[in-house]
Amino acid sequence: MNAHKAREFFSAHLEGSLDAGLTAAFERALAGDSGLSAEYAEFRATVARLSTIKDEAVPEPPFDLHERISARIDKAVWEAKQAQPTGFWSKWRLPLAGFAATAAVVATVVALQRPAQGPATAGVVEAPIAAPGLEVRLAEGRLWVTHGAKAGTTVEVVRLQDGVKIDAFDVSERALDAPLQNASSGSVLVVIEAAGSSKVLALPGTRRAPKASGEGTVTEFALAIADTSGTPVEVRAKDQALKAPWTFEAADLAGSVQKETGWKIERRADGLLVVSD
Amino acid sequence: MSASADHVLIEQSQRGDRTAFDSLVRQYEHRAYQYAFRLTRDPDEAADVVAEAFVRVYNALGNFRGQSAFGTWLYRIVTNCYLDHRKKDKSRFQTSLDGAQQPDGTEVERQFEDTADGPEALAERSAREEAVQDALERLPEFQKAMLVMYHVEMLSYEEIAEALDLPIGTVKSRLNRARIALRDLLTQNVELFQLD
Repeated sequence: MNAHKAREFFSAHLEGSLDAGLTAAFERALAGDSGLSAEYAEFRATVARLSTIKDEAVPEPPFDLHERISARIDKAVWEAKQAQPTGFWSKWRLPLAGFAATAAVVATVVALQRPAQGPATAGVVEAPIAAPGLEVRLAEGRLWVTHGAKAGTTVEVVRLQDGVKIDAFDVSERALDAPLQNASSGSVLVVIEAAGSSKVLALPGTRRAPKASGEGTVTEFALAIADTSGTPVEVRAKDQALKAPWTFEAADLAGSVQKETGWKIERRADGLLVVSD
Repeated sequence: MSASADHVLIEQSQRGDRTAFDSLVRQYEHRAYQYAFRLTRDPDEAADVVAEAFVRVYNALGNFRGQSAFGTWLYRIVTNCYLDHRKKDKSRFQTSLDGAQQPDGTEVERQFEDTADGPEALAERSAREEAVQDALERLPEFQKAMLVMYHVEMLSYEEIAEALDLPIGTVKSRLNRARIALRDLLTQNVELFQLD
């Protein structure tokens, strides 16, 4: 055993944890090298000195240590709150933190066709009976947003993955439908908010990406449903932070219930899928 | 505090109960401070390190799954805060080693063993202890932290491995190297380094 190797065993020999063979080799190395032997003796003395440090008195903590800690935590909490976007959708961002990497590639592709001004115009459906609050429905293969809000109310569409406001407009006195489209390849999550009402929707993209199973929050579950079925999904679950595995066992997802979470997929009369807990 | 009592407070804290988290802090702040002081040798810096450590604990508590004891996890966080603190403030690397200081500037009296040694022997022992502290301060922070964890905080190899998220073999070899490095520094001051 050379000196370099022997040094690697200084602690182990001191602790008596070397086996018989290594101990013998180590001790032969010491016996044959007076410099190494002196080093080892100094090493043992060093370790002995180290054991005296724990006996040194440590001053009592500052009398206000706990208050200093609490103040730092309060400050960190406040700073974190200041950095977050305000509004309804801010509470949805937390469960999506792990989703940001894949969502980052989605450009601003969700468009809301604005209600045209004036009488019948291409792309504008005649106003239905104005429904109170915000409603979404599937018709003619597209997702329509209905709002019975008063004039001067702003409807906003925000992409949940990053809080980017995709569109916003003020309603006129007539409640008008506005189709919501996602031109990207993958599904996106949006929240539509107007006059105190809001809807969270997973909008399928242009490409199907069927999934048999996965794991994540209810919003990630909704995105997987949209990817698999190509149908928009409204999210009505209360617990957005719960993460759990899921499986899709049947071709038709509607009517299924996830065993672990109770997440239910239902199909409305218009074909829109709804996820609830 | 018992592990089960820790577990209850941790769960409550994870659900957003700030009172529970405050209780957890009170249980561990003294020990965290002592460890931070051993590393920093400065009361204010130690308090800063501990405060920052508990902010990190607060932010990361949701990810704590109990794979290790809370105290062990806290050691890791305090160590990392200390290392980050030192990186930011290189000018504090060579701290005064004239002894630990109270907030009012007076020195902490060292506690001496009650022996029959005369004043000269006691003075020599005090000088040797200071030499060890001096040499510890000159070590890279990571080596110093490991030596403090083992020889002062009396953590086992397994606990240090858990705290630093290192294999036990790595902990043992790094501690060995840290002790050798300390020996090298001490032998530079031969007069104070006499073999018993």
